Amino acid sequence: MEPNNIENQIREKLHSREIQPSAQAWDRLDAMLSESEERKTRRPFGFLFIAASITVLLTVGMLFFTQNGPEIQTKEEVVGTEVKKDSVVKIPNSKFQIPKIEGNQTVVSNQPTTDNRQPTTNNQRVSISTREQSSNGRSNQKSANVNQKSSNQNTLINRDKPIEYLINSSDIALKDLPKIRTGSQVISGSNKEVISDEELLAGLENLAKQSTNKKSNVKVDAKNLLSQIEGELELTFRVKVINKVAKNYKEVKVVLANRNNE
Amino acid sequence: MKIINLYQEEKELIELAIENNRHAQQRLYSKFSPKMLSVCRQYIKDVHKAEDVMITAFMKVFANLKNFEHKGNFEGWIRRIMINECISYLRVQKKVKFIEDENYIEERYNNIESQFSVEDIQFLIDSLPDGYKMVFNLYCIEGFKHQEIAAILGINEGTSKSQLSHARKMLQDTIIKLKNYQNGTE
Repeated sequence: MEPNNIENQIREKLHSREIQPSAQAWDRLDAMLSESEERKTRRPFGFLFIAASITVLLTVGMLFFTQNGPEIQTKEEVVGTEVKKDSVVKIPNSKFQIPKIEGNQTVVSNQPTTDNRQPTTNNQRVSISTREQSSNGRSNQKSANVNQKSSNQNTLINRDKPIEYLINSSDIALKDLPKIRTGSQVISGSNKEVISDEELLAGLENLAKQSTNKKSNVKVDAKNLLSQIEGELELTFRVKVINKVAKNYKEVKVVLANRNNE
Repeated sequence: MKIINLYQEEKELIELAIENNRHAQQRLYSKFSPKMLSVCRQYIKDVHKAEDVMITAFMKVFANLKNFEHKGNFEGWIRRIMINECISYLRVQKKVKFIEDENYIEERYNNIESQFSVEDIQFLIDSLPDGYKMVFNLYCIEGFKHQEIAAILGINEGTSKSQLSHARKMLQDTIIKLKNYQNGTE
């Protein structure tokens, strides 16, 4: 339907109409315009601030991740040290050194033990002999006891033959000489030990490196492992749900059966 | 020559206003604001609210001034921004909803030859509900087609037509009442 006369009249009159806005209207608009201009001027700084903050965050993040890197490496080294213990035996050079150390240690250790054992063994022997004496005293066989004593002593002495050689030998200097020699050996051994330790450490480090290199060759897909575990978890969840449903079904069945019986 | 000068002046003002020249902005505002407030008043009954809407629309005008290509009429461009702002105000603040009603009868109403003052015309438009008012203003005063109105308001073309038909019917009834009141018959 076309517009009629009244509509034409409305259009013309409204088009020609003007309503003067209030005096505050421009002030308000002015204020709004200045606000928007301020925002526009602030924006570049704001953008710069945001950019700066992002860069700072990125740098901090990078530092954080780089710090994490060495930690993982140290862990790998720890794993390597575990291998060291086993690898000590495997080193061909160390094989020659280790027995030397053991020999020295044994020499040193045997001498005091033998010295200590002598009184203890003697005391034990005395105590044993006194017991035997008391037991023999009851039977009044003194001659037999003496024989037994001598025989016991002999047997005991025979047991510790190396000690006999040391004790029986009248030359005390001879006794001392081996000791000194052994001491010198110990000292020389200790020097050798220091050198050998360094060498050992170097060898161990090399071994650790080799082991780490070997380990790095082994590839483990973390994703696959995770997916496997997840799959297992899902399965367990399913099994749990099925079990729960089955339990509930059984309970309901029992309840219904009881009610029917009642 | 005068028209060319005025056009040149307007163009210069626009270019200055784009550069946030407050004086140019004020001049553009003082030039167009009375007409634009009239446009806003067509849609919004309260003149203060109409003024608020006009100010926000002017903000949009100045913000988008750089997008104005000096091809069309600048006043028409501002007017369109004003109309859009008024419609969005009515739709958001007044929550105007259009009921899809395509069953209407196009009535031929009597030709009314009597003349009305602008105040009476505004009174007649104010008497219309917001939905009818929007479609009536867009169709009869702004000269949009139903297809365009449907696009502006986001409604069907049929709904626009039915809204206009209802608005016309209501307007005719009000005119008759007004005439009877003025003649003293009612």
